Amino acid sequence: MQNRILIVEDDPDMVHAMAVRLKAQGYSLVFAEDAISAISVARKEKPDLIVLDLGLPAGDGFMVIKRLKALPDLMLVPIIVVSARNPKFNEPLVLEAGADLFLQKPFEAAEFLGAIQNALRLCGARPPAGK
Amino acid sequence: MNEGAASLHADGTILFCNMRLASIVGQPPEKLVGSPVTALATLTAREHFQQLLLESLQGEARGELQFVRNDGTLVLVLASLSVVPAEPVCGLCLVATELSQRENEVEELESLNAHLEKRVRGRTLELQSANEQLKQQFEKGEQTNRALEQSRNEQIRLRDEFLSHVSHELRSPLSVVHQFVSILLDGLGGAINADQKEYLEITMRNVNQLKGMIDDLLEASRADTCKLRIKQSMIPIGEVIKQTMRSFRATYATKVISLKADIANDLPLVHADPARICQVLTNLLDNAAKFSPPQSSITVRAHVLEEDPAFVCVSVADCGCGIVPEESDHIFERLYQAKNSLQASRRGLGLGLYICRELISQHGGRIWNDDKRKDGCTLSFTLPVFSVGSMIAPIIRQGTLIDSSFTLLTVEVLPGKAWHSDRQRERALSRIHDVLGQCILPNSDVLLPCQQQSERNLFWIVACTDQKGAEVIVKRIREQLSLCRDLQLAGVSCSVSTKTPHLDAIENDWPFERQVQSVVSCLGKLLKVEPV
Repeated sequence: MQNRILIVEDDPDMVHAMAVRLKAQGYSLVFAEDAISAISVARKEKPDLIVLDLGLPAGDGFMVIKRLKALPDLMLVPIIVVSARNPKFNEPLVLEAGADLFLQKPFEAAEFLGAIQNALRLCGARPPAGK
Repeated sequence: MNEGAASLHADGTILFCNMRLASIVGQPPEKLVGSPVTALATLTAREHFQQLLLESLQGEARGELQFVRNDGTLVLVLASLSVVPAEPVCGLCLVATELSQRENEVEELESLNAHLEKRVRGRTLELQSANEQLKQQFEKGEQTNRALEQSRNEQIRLRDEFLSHVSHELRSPLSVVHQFVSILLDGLGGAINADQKEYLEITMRNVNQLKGMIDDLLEASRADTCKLRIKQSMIPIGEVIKQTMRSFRATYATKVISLKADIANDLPLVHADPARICQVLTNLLDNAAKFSPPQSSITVRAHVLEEDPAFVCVSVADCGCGIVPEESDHIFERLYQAKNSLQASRRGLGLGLYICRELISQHGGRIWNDDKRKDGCTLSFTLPVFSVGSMIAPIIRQGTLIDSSFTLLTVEVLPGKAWHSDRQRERALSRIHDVLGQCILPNSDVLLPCQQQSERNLFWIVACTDQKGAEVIVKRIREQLSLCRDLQLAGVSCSVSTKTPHLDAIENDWPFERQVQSVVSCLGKLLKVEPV
């Protein structure tokens, strides 16, 4: 079964680029453009993994992580944060909030895909994410 | 003499008197001699005087009496009478002190005193107000200083904020370009021909250069405010050079530049931050590639510095246009652009070598251009050789050796679950390193870095403390590590154990240097490096 990935990103070009990459790898994708729809799409679609930007309309990535981690059926879904922000300050905050990884933009495709595979593999050992 | 005095016959007749007594009563002394002393007093006081005379025959008597002057005025006198034993009859001695004068004097003194006190109070007030003024001025100065400091910090903060904002805003569109170029290069947008591939590769190279420039902007701002951070550990410099060179092979291949390595086999470990050294080397190799003509070669050399074996020297030599001697000293300055860089196809921000110099000098090394070269450019830098001896030298003292109070703490780091990435692992390790650094006392304890051994990562602390001191440090480390939430999230566990190095072999009658040598080599063995 295809793994489903939720991309939360407000820049349509970046969404497009990531979509091309991930579709080529055979992932099924769902999208959200702001912090509030990120939660509702996640609850509805039950993704296996979430790729999350930090700067979002109607809230921010930190808020999304905290809300997701408070939901019993979504708390175990791995979250990979992709942001152009300084990793020195943001990586610890993001990890502390409960995300699994911080990738700074621009990132190499191999690094991005490797991180997703790794996170999905690790989460395979966990109980299925609410499906 | 201020007292009036007279010698008296036992019956009270004046036998002799001094001038002062005469002046108190206002009569010449010769008139007084032979007259009864009681006649000096007023009529009402005479009886009292007589009594005093009688009393004084027993030894002594004293009393206040009103004397009457020749002009009829009265004068209050303290009369002291004492017996003078003599044969055949004893005599008396009178000492008379003019009380009214004394009272005057007391009054005068009191008024003088009061005046002085008034003046003192006045001056005290003046001083107090001057003091108050000074205090206010000082506080004002302090306030101004604080305000200046605050505004300077505020400026730095605003600049950092601005740079981090700009960097963020530039990175976002750049990452879209980066993504799509890599999508096209990977053929996800359909097949591309050789020319298209070349053009896309050029685009990608420029995107990466732009990304490097954005990083440089932030780094230079950190260097300006001394915020560049390095984490030194003992590293095999040859390996770091080879790794960095590997990532350059592809770049160099497109320009048909051959990359040669001349790395001595027996290089000692150096005390450096591998990521930062990679950054410096990348910068130097980038520069060399930029200024090198096609089909030339670039050589990276690494050897122990001949003049000072405590340093390893790394150099990058190209066959490019070189640097004119006048510019040699300036190329490491902030925002400096070499004149001939105009000829180069691309110019940078002029920050790369500045950042390199800041990083190398933080390592305790130096970076320079070989200005004797005419047919190209050689940039070299030095790094300190890792030496247990030089690291623990500050804490070895006669006392510590005699007491054998050396205690070694071993902090063993065990990853709880697989690391998501090397970066995450690096981050956790550097976090632990930070915590350890906070727990030691910089001048009496030393944090010795250790080689990372596959999955296990060991750090060592040599503490120059007694057993009690080591316990305190262990407690502090445990507390601090338990507070690091990101370490808990990463599932890292750390065990701290105390070891006492075997210093038994040390003989007390050895010279101090030999004892130190023995300690150093003992610690060197524990750290699995030979002390240099």
